[in-house]
Amino acid sequence: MPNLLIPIALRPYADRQAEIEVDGANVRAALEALTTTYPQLGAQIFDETGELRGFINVFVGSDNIKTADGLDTAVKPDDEVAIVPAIAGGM
Amino acid sequence: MLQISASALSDIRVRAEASYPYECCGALLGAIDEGSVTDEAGQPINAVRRVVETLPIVNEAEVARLIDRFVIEPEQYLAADRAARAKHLDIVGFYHSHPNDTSRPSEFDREHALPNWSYIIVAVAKEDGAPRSGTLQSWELSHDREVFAEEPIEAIESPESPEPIIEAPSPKGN
Repeated sequence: MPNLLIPIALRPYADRQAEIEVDGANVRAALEALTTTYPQLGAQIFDETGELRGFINVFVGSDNIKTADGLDTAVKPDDEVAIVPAIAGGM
Repeated sequence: MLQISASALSDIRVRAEASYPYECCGALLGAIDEGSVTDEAGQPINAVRRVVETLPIVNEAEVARLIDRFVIEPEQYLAADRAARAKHLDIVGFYHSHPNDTSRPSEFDREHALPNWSYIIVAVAKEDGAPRSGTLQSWELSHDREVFAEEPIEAIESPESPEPIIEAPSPKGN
């Protein structure tokens, strides 16, 4: 199963785990499996319409899914899938 | 609560002044103690984030927006995370400056934040012709993402200097 990497700020919503194995043939299925188990984590990475928040990125290996097929990006069983925030702010 | 040394706070102020009139940004590296008190959903509400050192990061906002925006791209986040882990530290938050504004977070700041991290904001403005940092506050996003509340800052001793890794040579002839 693909291994999902959780940034430290989101670990309190996933029983403090840094890595979680999830089922899923693509990123959407993997994240659905994750957020079904940990709905509080889902509220942090998805907005009210169910879309990934703009500053939340997902990498499969070293590739950002924004430059691949988005949530439909395929995931192989031995892939590492990382949730990676972009940090932004200002006035 | 955020615990941070005077030297780390000074690093942030120096960088805010050097970057003026543009926003500076960076990561806070250290350790998180989640504490023992949780809300009704089981989430920590008395965590202590202890900053050991700061890590300056290049602001990747569009040039025209550098005066009022900062952006740390995901690749920069990954590099900062690797740098932290190489030192057996974690990212415990981020800092940025508000040139010619207050140290209070904007709505844009809140929308782009995550709970469980500290967000330091330092105000900076020109004074007698030179940039001078002003108020500095730390903010924490609530678990429901609705409230960006100020958190107390506790001053701690600067970490001790690391042991020298190169020993002095033995006197010749011994």
